[in-house]
Formats: sequence, C-alpha cells, structure tokens
Amino acid sequence: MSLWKDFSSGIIKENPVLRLMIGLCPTIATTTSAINALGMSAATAFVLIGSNLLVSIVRKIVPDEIRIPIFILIIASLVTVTDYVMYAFMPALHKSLGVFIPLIVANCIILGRSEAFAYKNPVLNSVLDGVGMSIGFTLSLTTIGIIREILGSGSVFGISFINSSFMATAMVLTPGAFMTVGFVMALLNRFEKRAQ
Amino acid sequence: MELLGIFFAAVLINNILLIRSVGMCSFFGVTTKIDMAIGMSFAVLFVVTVASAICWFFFRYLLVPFDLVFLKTVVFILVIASLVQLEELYLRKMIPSLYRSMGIYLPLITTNCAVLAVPLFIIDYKYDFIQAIIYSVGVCGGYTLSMVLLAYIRERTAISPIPRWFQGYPIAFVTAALMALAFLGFSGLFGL
Amino acid sequence: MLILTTIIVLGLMGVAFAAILGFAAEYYKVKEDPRIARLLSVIPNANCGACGAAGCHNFAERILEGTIAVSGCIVGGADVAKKIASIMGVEGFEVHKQVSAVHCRALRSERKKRASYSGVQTCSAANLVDGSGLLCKYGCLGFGDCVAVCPFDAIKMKDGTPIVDPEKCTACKKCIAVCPRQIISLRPYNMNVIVGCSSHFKGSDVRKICSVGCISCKICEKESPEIFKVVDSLSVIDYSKTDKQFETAVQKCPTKCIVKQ
Repeated sequence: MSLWKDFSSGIIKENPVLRLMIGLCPTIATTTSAINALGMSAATAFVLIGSNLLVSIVRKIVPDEIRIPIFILIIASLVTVTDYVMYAFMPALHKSLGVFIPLIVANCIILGRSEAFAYKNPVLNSVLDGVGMSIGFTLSLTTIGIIREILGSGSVFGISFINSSFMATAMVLTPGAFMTVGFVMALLNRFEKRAQ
Repeated sequence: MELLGIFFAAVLINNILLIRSVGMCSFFGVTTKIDMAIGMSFAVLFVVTVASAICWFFFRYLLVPFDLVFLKTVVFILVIASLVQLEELYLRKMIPSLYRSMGIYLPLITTNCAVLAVPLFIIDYKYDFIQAIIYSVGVCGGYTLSMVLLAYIRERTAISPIPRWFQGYPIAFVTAALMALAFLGFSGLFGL
Repeated sequence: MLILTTIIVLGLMGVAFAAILGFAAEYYKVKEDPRIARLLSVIPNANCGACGAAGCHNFAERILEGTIAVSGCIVGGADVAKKIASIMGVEGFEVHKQVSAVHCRALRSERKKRASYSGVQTCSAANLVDGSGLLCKYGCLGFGDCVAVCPFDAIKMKDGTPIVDPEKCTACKKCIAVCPRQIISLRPYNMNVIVGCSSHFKGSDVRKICSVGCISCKICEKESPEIFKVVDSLSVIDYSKTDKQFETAVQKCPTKCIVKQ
C-alpha cells in the first residue's frame, strides 16, 4: 500500500541522516546529550510535518517559478514559531540548542522533502512522509546522542551513573560527534550487507 | 589588534566546520575532489561576506527600530536567497569565467547552514560593522582551510585499502573527527 | 499594531526584492545564440570532456566559433555529428569511427616476473613500484585501471589482459588517459589488426621475458611493407593505410603478437 510505503521508507531504508546523508548539521551539533537530541528531533519533526502539510495544501495554487521562495517562507515562519515556543516553554533546552533552532530553516531535509515530495503528492501522503522521515531522524539522532552522552559524560537522559571526570570529554565535542556518526554508519553498512 | 583576534578566532579556534559544526552537508558532499572543494569555498566567500553585511544593516536599521527582532530568521533567509539569485545573474553576465568555475555551487549555498549561521552569530556576539566584516572573512577562511584539508585527505584515502564497511562516508567522518581533535588544540591560542 | 507593522515591513520587503530581482534578470540577461540551445538538445550532455572542450556547453560554443569540428563529439558518434551538421548547415562530411586498441596481448601467465607484488591493486600504484616486479617494463600490468574507468563497459579483463569490444567502444579516450604504461591508442574501426606488444627490447631479450612479444624479425614488414614498419625493435602499424591487406603478416608472425581484434 502506497501510504505505508511513504511512511516506512523514511525510517530505515531512506533514513535521512544515515542513508541519504542530508541533515547532518544538527546531527553533529545537537547530539551532545540524549535530551538535546530528542528536543532537536521534536522541533525538526514539527517543522517538517507542518511544512509538508502546508506545501501540499497550496501546491496547486503556487506557480512553478516562485515555488522555492514560497517554500522558504513557509519553513522560515514555522521555524520562528518553534523557536519562540521553545523559548517560552522550554528555556533550558532552547539555551542548549542555541543557534541551531533557527538553523532548522537551512536543514536540507525539509526543503528537500518539500521540493521532492510534498509539491507533487496529496496531503495525506505528504504528512505520512513527513512523519516517517521525522521518526527516522529521531531514531538516528537519539542513538548518536545516547552514545555520546554515555561515553562523554557518563550519564543517560540526564541520569548520571559515572562521574563525568572519568569520561572522554572529547565525545561531547565535535570529534566525538564525527567519530560516532562514522562508526554508526559503518555498523549500518555491515548489517545491511549481511541482510543482502 | 582586537580585529586580528576576531579573525584568528574565526579561522582556527572556532573553526566554523570543525568546532562549531555548521555547514556539514557541504563539508562531506563537496570534498570528494579538491577542485570542487576550492570552487565551493570561493562561492561561500562570495556569498557569506556580502550576505552578512546586508543582514547586519537590515537587523540594525530595520528590525531593531521597529521591534521586529523575532522576524530575523525570515528576513535573513529571504535576503540570502535573493542575494544568491542576484549574484548568479550578475556573475553570469559580467564575469563568465568565474561563473563557469564556481557558478554551479551558488544554488547549493542557499541552504548551506553556514551562510545563515554567520549573521546569527554576528548578532549573538553583538559585533559592530567592521568587526562583522572581519568575522565573516575569517569564517570563510576557516571554511576554506577545513574543506581543502579534508578534500586532500579524502582523495588519498580513496585509493588506499580501507576496511570494507568504512569505505566511502564512514572513513571521511573518522578523518574529520581526527582533524577536529587537532583543531581543538587551538583553543586558548592568543589568550582567546 | 505589531501585526500591522510585520505585515507592512515584510510586504514591502517582498515587493522590493521581487522588483530588484526582476529588474536584474532583465538588465543582466545574457543573450545566447539560440543555436546553442539547439546544439545542446542533440548532444549527449554527459560533460565527459572527450571532445577536448570544457563541458558540453563549451563544446556548443566552440562549434559556433569554428574551433571544433562538427564531428567533434566522439561519444555521440555519427548520428550526433549529422544532427550538428544539419543545425550548422554543413554539407557532405565523413565520420570515421575509431576504437581503442591495447598494445599488449600477453596473458597473466605469459608475463615473467622477478618479484611478487602485494601492494595497492591498481595499475597506477603498481607502476610506481618497479612495475610490480614484472620483467617487461613496457607491457600491461593487468590490474584493470582501464576497465574501471570505461564508462561504456567496453573493456573487459581476460586472464590479466584487457580486451576491447569494438561495438561498445566510443573512443572517449578515458582508458588511454588512465593507462600508466600508455600502451592504449586509437585505431580505425574497420582496420582490426593490432600489434600486441609495446616493448622496445631487442629481440633476443624479449624472448627471455615474454613468449608472445615482438622480436623485431621484420617478417611483417616484408609481407605488408606499407602497413608495418619495425621501428626501434618494435613493429608499428600505419593506420592510415586502411585499404592494404594484412592477413599474410598476421599468419606469418612467429610469436603471434600481431592479432586481429
């Protein structure tokens, strides 16, 4: 059934971060802890699903030549809303994510899905595609966040079990991010080859 | 003197790609060949410097006086998208040789996080105009440095015997991790 | 009040940007010869560079300038050349198809070595390390760089020696460029004879290192003097003599290094 396919392809087979290699900026920068990763994925999910929905609704009225500026406007407005809602209701998360919330606008996943999918498909399919991609994004981000948090600060979801001075602080900085993503991708390669 | 500090901080200590981790998609997408990396870096230099200058003006003289600071994301991205389009038109007509070598990267830059991040950082740091310009040039210098370094290494690893599961992107990520570790050593340089 | 300001400011910005961009699009319009668009529609547009121009757009520009022949798109072949000719209004020309030819026919088992090689398994790498220990310093290394680079799947390795499929080869010259020993060259499609050796060693030395190499005995030169010339201990074919016969030379070659492909 096409609806199920639109939904499920975003989770593993066309996982945006680990397979399509888009949306890497937040992966590297915001996975310093599992909670940050979850927060970022939630914000991105809201913007992705919202923009897929809106673009799909207006796709018949928008002329082809100016579609990219229109997409950008829709996405930017959604991001501004998300930014200020997080500022009001989750100030700690907003502070730790910092400049990366406005940077969701430049996230390749959202513009890419609007252009490649939502502009050409009916509303329900687009929303499901958005949900699937968000789940895939959340899974990959949270996995990397958990690994980095355990190895870097000795805690998981904020619950500390080893004193952080014993752990490798580089894991919560950029080198750890690159290393983790590289190894997770290699692991995924191994399992995919095995399944073939 | 302080301007020099801002410049070196942008290039080495807070390298936009390796320490601030902004602009990742282009970092791994365009570094498979050295000429592509250099072309992309030139295009980024072209766009970021002009874009941050214009965004600075819009912020200071439009958004702040009218109390519209919450519109900064929308306004900045509109400015950047229009600017890239304008630059592409101008380059195509006036400097065709430059257009041929780096024109194809210009549309890629519209969604490059680095271009949107620089004006946002400038606002965070509360720089004045001259500092903002020096900062953006420094960011582009740091961008070029990391891109070219990674491109050189990736061209070498492409013909080296890499373990099967790591071939392609995973080894590029591990390389970037080691580079980032090296760049972390710059923190504290010049007392910054 | 805030909502009003927002709407006015964004609205004005939108109108202003749209006006600037619209004006710029007109002012900076690049007037391109319409023939360029027509040329671009008939060529493969793969940007392979085989024609020697910097991409397909550059090829179209140079066709208009006259610095590239109408048959310049080698990969497109005769069809594309005819279409380009009709756009440019050129009459009566000939396109001669060419294909690649590898000048070493020794199988892996026939190449004598003095060392075993376990380095990076590419021709370019092996060439840097004493030719991977092969005694013949002119011949094919057998790692298949040419096979890997061919975009048309026209070269295949057989027992360590590359075989060109003349039907698939488009003479894009990528294999010629990548071979570190430079033993691949072009030959006319309808003259399917190759000297399968590139060695300039003296005949007696060649015997020691390869059983199918050219020993410069000059029998081929005696049989078909217009086509074969032995230069510097190696037989060389003059590919402009497409109408002369070469069968007897192929039959009489003692090491069978002259082959038909």
